[in-house]
Amino acid sequence: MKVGLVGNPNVGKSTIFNALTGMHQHTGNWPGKTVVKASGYKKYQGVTYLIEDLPGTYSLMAHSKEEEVTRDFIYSMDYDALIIVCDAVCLERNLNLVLQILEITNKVVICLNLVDEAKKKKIKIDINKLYNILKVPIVFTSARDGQGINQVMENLKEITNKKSSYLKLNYPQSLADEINHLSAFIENDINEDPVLLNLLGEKEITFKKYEKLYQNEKFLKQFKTSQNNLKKQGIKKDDIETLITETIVNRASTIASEVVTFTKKDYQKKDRLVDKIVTHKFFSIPIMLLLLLLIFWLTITGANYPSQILYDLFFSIEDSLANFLSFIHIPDSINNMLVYGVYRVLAWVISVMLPPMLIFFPLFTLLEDLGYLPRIAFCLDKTFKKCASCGKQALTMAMGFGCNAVGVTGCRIIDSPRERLMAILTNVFVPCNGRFPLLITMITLFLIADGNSLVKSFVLTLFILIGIAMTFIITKILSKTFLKGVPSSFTLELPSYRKPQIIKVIIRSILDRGIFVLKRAIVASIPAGVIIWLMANINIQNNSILQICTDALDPFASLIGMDGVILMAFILALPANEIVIPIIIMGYLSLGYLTDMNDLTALKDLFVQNGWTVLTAVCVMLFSLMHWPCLTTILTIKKETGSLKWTMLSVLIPTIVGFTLCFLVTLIYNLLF
Amino acid sequence: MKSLNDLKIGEVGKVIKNEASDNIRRRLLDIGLVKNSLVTPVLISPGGDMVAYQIKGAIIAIRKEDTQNIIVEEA
Repeated sequence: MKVGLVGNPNVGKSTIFNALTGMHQHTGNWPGKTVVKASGYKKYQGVTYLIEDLPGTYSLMAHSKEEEVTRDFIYSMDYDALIIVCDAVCLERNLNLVLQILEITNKVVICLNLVDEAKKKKIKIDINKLYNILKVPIVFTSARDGQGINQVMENLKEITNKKSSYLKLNYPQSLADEINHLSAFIENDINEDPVLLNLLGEKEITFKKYEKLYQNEKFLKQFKTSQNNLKKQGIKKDDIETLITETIVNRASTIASEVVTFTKKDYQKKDRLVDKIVTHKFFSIPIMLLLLLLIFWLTITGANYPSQILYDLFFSIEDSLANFLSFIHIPDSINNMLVYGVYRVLAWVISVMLPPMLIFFPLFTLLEDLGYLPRIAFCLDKTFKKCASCGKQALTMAMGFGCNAVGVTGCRIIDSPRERLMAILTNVFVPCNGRFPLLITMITLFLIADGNSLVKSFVLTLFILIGIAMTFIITKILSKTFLKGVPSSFTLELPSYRKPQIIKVIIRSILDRGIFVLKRAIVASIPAGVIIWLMANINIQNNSILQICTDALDPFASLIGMDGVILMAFILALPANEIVIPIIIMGYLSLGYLTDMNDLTALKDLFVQNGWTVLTAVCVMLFSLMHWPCLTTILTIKKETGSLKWTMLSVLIPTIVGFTLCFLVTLIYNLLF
Repeated sequence: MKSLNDLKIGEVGKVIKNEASDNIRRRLLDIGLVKNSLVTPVLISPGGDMVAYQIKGAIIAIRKEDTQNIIVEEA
């Protein structure tokens, strides 16, 4: 059985999806908002249901690429049932989509989600009355605690056997007359209203199914007559869509007034009070920065201890591992490669990268769950508008903090193709989870030595701000060069604040992120470990390939404050940013600088022995912040833009910016010191 | 009769006509800015370029230039 899951944005659709499918999902190793069509399975009483999670939309008149996916799915009729998730707090607005879908099919179960929020706000919904009006099953759900999920499945089971039907809306007489004239050309078993009205309005929606109508001369003749009839009554093409929406919205309004009662008039008072503070003229930006600082501080402080424990654990068994391998007669050369190449990289990635990710990520997801992020978009819109973009870019940047590939996919929420491209091309200036640990390590080792994590967080925030400033600058430049244009129009919903599901977020983050990071670390670092070991151990005329390569890169790298090994590490870390530092370490170690790697401070000695200074650390941080995107992100950009040109530009822009900035910093540093 | 932009925070307006430009009108209709529906501005962005309105129980922020041609009357 195939079931589509639809609903307005921000109604807890993802939570319902998770509650339904649990761990049986295909995509979705990324908690948070639905940005790609995900699907999962649910078994119920011996029947398997394939559940497709469709992008959130307010209406079936698509404005964005994401909404087109949903619209096409619903019009395709290629499913056994639909689940429509509605926000019980603002049912009236949600009914707009419900009515549009019911015009097409009645194989629908409606979830009135977030009932607990509605209860808190003293909003009452008469579910029986609503059922009598809509004639489809309606279930109260509170997906966060699994309430109502079984009832959804029970109803789903019943309606898949039901005969398909649809709801008729009362369109104004002038439109209804023309529908009557044309309805003979449409198949009997479907509702001709939405199809014909869209054709008459000549919206960009062309139904593939009805393309052949345009070859039918009888139809074309009647179609022209109908259009002329409407024109005579003063109804132009654009007016048709206004009339359609008015009909639907007014119907929704009537229904809502019959079934919803607000017993507390000022139920939004608390939200508005919080909004007044977080979007305050003077306090909004400081609040934003303080929250960022707080998250970094918690991450740095919290990650310190587990990192050290993991590090000690991994390196305490390193020698035993090597001994064991030689005990089972693994040749020394391979043994060395496995232990000092592959194992060390893995140990590094897991002990230094994993803890901060597992703290940062849930914290950020909590902020997202709380409903704060749209407020950031609201506050920053003016700045984005000055760069000929829109506030929604702030949301895609926020996603980029987790993973740039997710941020790039997330750009689909931006309706204007030009603004979407600008957001895609600049997303990499926000450091993803894979780059944070490098930044933190550099700050810890070279910038703030005394271990005050508040000062460290402050410096980290400063670097993030450099990246954000660069986003604005590059967006502005793009809007004046490759992507000329004026800011487009958009709407932004400010959802009501919700209590985040703290425990669930933490568990999901650890499961999803933990496994994701480990998998990625293994997949990316094993080949990197092998390559670097081979390069260090295959000699050409008494020089290892690694030596030859790094020597070749050295002169150029020194111009930007780094050395050949570092630049080489950035190049080899193309598959995953997480492995830059491990590759640097391996590079130095295999070039003969043997150091006892007992604890994290030994790392600084290794770097210093190789000529690192504060300048090196700053340049490595800047370059990490601004260089080519990782392979996953590049491939995602290719997929999203469908163009080689934009993909190339997305690689070139940050690379050129990074080189230039590091070059300037080095130049100034050398002049001063 | 006045533009939606002329409503003060907290003032309730009733939509008379939605004459927003083509690229945004449909979306504004979808979120509920149709004839006779009630709308109240509740929040102005720090930059002053966007206003958040209470429409049909939801809070939706729209840029000022997009709401200029929505005609309302005091309700």
